[in-house]
Amino acid sequence: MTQQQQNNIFEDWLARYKGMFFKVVRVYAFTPADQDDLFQEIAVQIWRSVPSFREESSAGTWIYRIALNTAMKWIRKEQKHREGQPYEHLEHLLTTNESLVDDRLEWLYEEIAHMNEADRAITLLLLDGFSYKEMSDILGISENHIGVKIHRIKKHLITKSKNYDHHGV
Amino acid sequence: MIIMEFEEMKRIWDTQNNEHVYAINETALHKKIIGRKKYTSVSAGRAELIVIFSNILAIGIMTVSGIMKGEVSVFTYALGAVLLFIAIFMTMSRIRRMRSQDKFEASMLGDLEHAIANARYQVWFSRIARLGLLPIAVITLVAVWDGDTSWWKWLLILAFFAVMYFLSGKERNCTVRQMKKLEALRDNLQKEN
Repeated sequence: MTQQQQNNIFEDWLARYKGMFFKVVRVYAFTPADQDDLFQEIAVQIWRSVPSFREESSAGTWIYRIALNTAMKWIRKEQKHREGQPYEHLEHLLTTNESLVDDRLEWLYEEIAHMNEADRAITLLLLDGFSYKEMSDILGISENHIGVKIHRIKKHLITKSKNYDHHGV
Repeated sequence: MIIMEFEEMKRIWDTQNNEHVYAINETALHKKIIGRKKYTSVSAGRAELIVIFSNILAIGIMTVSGIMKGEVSVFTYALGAVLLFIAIFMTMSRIRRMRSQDKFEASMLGDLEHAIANARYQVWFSRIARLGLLPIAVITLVAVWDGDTSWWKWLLILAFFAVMYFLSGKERNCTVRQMKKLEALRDNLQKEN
């Protein structure tokens, strides 16, 4: 594969799955500086992975797998270096379009952020409509185990929603 | 008490797919590009000065040492000539680079082009500096061999130059990566426009 072909495929993936990139970034990184950093890290890893993609799974599944693995590795690395350090206050590349953000979506992200790494990944995949089989392929966990975890996650989120102020919605 | 069902959460989640919830902050991007431009400019200037002054210093040391010993070998002259040539060549490159600083337009793409030009210069510079190591290494090794030095000292000097050559290759790869990143950013910006 030539570098030009690799770049073309990467740009196509970036355009088609941009939303997925942002979701993973937002679930694993909480400050704008960290979100920029993780976004760049995921983009680099996905670009590197292009020549290894064999179309045995869909591009979406492949990208999700890389993005989640990268995010989980990144968060472990960051936790090691971060303890006790203040967050940076810089201007950032990715901004949220405030007028389009639903408060309930913000709440959902916050709840996901409180979960452990694996549960965050499962919740993301579940909300994005992946099947148990696809989740199992992406995360390397048995379908049965995923089923058990999903049951717990749904129950947890529904219970938490009782405490959410719905503002009449 | 209102309970949100999971299907409702999924529907809320899916709203992200239809709206451009995220955007690129262009002001921040421009600031980052300006920062990158300054960084490449400063690091290119620093690398030039290091090479120029270290060569001049080496020539000075060789000259003083030759005068004190009262004898100057042909290898010392050869090495001095190579070092002087590199120092002059780098000084001229520096002057040429500094004169070209004003030709870029004052816009985000202009600043990006400037940063890319600086990065390209750094790649070229590190390649030249790496090539410059070869004649210096050859003359030094021949001079040391001719001077009846023990073989392990000769090997030590050879290893020193090999390590320098390897490290300069690493540095060059790093500058190439930075340049490619900037070029990719420019291509993306041009596509969006």
